[in-house]
Amino acid sequence: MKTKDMAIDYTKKKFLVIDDFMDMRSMIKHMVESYGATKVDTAANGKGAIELLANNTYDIMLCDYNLGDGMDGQQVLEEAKHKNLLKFSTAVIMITAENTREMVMGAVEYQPDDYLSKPFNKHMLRDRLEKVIAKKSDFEKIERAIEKQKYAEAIVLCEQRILEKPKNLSEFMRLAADLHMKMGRYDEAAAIYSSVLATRDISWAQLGLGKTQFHKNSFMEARELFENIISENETYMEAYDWLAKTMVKLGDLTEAENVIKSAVEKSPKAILRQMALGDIALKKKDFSVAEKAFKKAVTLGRHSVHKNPANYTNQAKALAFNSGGKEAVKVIAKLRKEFPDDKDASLHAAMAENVVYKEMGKDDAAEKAFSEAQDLYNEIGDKASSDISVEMAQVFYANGEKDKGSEIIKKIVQNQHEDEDALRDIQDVFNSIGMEDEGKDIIATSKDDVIKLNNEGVQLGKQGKLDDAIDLFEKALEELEGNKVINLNLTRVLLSSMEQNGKVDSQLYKARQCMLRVEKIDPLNNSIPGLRDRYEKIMQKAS
Amino acid sequence: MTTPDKKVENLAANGAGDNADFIAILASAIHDMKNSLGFVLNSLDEFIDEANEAQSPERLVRVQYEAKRVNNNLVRLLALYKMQCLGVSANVDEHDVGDFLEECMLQDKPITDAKGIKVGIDCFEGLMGYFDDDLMMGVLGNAVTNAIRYTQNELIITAEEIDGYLKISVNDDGTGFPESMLSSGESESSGAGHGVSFSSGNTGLGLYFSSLVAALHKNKGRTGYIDFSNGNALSGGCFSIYLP
Repeated sequence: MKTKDMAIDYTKKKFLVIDDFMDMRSMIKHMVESYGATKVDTAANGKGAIELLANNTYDIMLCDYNLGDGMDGQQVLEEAKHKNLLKFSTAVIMITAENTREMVMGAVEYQPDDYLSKPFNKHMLRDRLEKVIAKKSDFEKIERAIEKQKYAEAIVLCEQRILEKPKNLSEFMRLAADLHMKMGRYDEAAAIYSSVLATRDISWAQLGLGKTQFHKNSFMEARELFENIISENETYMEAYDWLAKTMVKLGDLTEAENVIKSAVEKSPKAILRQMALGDIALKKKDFSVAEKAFKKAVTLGRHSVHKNPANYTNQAKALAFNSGGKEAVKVIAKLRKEFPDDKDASLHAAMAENVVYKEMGKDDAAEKAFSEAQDLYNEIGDKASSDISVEMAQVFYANGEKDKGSEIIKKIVQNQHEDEDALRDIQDVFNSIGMEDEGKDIIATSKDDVIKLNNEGVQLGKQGKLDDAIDLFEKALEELEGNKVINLNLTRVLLSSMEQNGKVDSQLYKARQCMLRVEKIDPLNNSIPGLRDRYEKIMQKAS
Repeated sequence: MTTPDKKVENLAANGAGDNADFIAILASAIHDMKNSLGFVLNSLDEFIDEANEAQSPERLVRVQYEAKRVNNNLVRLLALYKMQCLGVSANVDEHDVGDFLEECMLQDKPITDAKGIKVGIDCFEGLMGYFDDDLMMGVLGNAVTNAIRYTQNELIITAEEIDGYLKISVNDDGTGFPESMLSSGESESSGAGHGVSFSSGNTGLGLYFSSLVAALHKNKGRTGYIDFSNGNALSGGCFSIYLP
């Protein structure tokens, strides 16, 4: 056979084989031993595999997708990645029953390096191993750059390879396009997808092009592309996810629900897809669909890194609105039991209890839950996520404390005043509780306040009054620590000031903190690389 | 591995009525049989490897071949079930044809090795094709297993691009396909129920499956098809699949 038949020294490779059937485990172990492997560990379930992964470093992981009652193979992979238990070079091959591949794909956070369908023999497994190992070393430099989030660098590396016209040219093109997309360079990404589509309708390129349209708010065009993919390839699950998102944007919740429902029928095990269905159904007040979806998400989440309190409370709320209050109370009790000593989860539970008891007409219990929620929210303070804060605001409104609710909303809006998607979601919340006009008002005035403040600072900067600008932005930041624009502008005026007057340690520190905050909120922010350059130059000049 | 019970639960949700239940049970039973057979096959491979060092294990090889045939049938039945009942369609992507054919041949390597059949691939390096690799693996697996039965001592798989179609052929040096199977301008038909009968021992399942898979491959208004001929790359039969 051809050049790729480079010698892999299997005696040096450490294997982990995961399968719930003992016969399968020993069969695969035999196979790899016949290639010369001597270090082969086996695990019968996900829990055993994670324990082994925590205490050993493996070169190759062969994992069956179906592992019986506990975690499935995808969940093992996700947990291993989340806990950082895999080496960068570890080759992961997911073994699937024939043709279940599509069912697994889409709506997953991590992909294995390759899939291998059963049945296979030792020759096929060896061939696949060699291809995966060759591919991993082929992509190593690029993947390392991606891991460090140096996307621009990764794109340059891809482009260099594309010029060499390698055999797997399309893989490099696909990766380059995906990276452009990650950086928000939609036109560059679209150009690559379109060039692939010029010769042939390939689903991944159609999907990519649709995503660029989606991000450019061309929802009608995106819709057409996604529908096209599905009509040609009913099992391309990712197209359903994107079509549903697009229909939500187009305001057609009924169609969005239908799309995601048919996807869920085809791949009932994808937890993120169940959550998406639940969210849409809740918005539509389709409570029995929502209840089922979140219940499924709770069950699927049992062994998953996606285990999440909101799935329990959403299930409970859907139940309560569908006159299943008693059941709802039980679900919340389960949430408390499964997340002991978790303040976020307790807050979720208390807020949901308030809603549920109100729905049941149990005002005393609702009142008690309300005061627990307030205490917890105050304890969590600034660390509260914006999702939790929006929910807390709703609870305040529902309990007649308008001012407190609006105060929270105001802060959320001011912290992300330029994020139209987030603002639209907040407006949706107001619409759903019959406060449409008030919502518009609060959002608009909160937004205006920040814009005015920000413009004032920018103006001062332009006039060269850098110290005044710094003062103003620093003061603004006391209230708006999570606001990206304010953080960026403070960085800018701090850097400008140091470029004129020389390095000041305290200012360097502040600039650094601001940039870190922006990166945390928006890892792909386009302004950061330029600011970092200026920052580095100031550091170097002074030393 | 999926346990049969779970499978039934999932599948039953998709259908309605007793017939759907029966089909779901049938599918999960096939799935279960296939898993057992997979184990039997791999164990046989090992036995034969061990036996090879001592004597020629002809009867074992025969068992191995028959088990492989049963396995192929089960794989195809399941794929057909999915196509018909779950609406699974072709997942077309770009593949290196040479690499893919090599992998296909490895499916049957234990048998061709044991039977001493010489296997060759004739495909120029860098030829790319667009197809569903899982489904095509089933089609070529069927063609190769079939060819192994009729060949004398050689098999050649050829791949080339002809008029915008990727043509993949499995050639043997046996006596060739009977006259009744050779196509006469109707090669684009679905194949099933076309009065075509395989020689003894064949249920027509492989043919039906291959025609369906071919037809699932479409590009710019053109559809794939299959074709039988004699005396091409080798003196015997030649099965070809054309993908647009």
